[in-house]
Amino acid sequence: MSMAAKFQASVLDRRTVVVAGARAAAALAMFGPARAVAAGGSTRSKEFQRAIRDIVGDGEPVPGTVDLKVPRRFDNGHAVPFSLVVDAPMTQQSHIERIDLLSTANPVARVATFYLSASLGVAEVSGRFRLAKSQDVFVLARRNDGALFVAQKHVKVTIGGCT
Amino acid sequence: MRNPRAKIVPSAPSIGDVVEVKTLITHVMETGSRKDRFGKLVPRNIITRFCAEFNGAVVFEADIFPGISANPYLSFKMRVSQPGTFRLTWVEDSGQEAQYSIPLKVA
Repeated sequence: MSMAAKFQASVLDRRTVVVAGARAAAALAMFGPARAVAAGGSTRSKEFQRAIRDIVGDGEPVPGTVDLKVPRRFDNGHAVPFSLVVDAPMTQQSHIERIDLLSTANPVARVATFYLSASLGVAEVSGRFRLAKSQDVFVLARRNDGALFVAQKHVKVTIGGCT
Repeated sequence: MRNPRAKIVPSAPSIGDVVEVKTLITHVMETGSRKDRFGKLVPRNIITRFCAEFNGAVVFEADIFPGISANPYLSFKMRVSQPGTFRLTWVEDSGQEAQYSIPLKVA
């Protein structure tokens, strides 16, 4: 890890513990589940915390706009259906350009990253993914102006998918 | 990696309608963290990239990780502005590619 990266990581860690300033407070309030656990322990994997930091950067994801459709409970963790729906305009001026699907307890946190063109006119992606065990799942959508939107759901699986 | 396929729903949309492009491919999506019955790690072999072009322009792409299920099903939606052809490409770890083309017919 480079010095710069180390410095940034330590700043981020401290920020989650010491709520300094309105900006950090707002970030914690809005994105508490991801940031608050960054300091350690809990059910969020280190991998997940790193992935979240990489994607979010200095941005402040806000809830809403993006919807993560997953079953609340599913028998087979090998193939859990998901649908990511963003309720936002899709024009050249303003469009969703990237959607990330993240798991908090799989060996690999990033599940998929989707890149969308404004010419699609709508932002909706579906598929099937693996869940090693019951866990929270996150979706992050990025608009072309850098705005970030987040949604989170808990999925219970009866049989974990070997990931 | 075999049998790439796709379906457009509805199959004969009008201009302005939203269609869903449903894609499927047969692939083991071996994660690389699974052990065989001798306790040896099974080497990773997954599809890492999916790309959809419409009339030569990229409209949808995906970076894919081991968390995507075997025989990956992926779908995306598009508002129809003109007829044309989707060219779909899947790329696996080995660099090998699979392709499928499907026309978008407008009623």
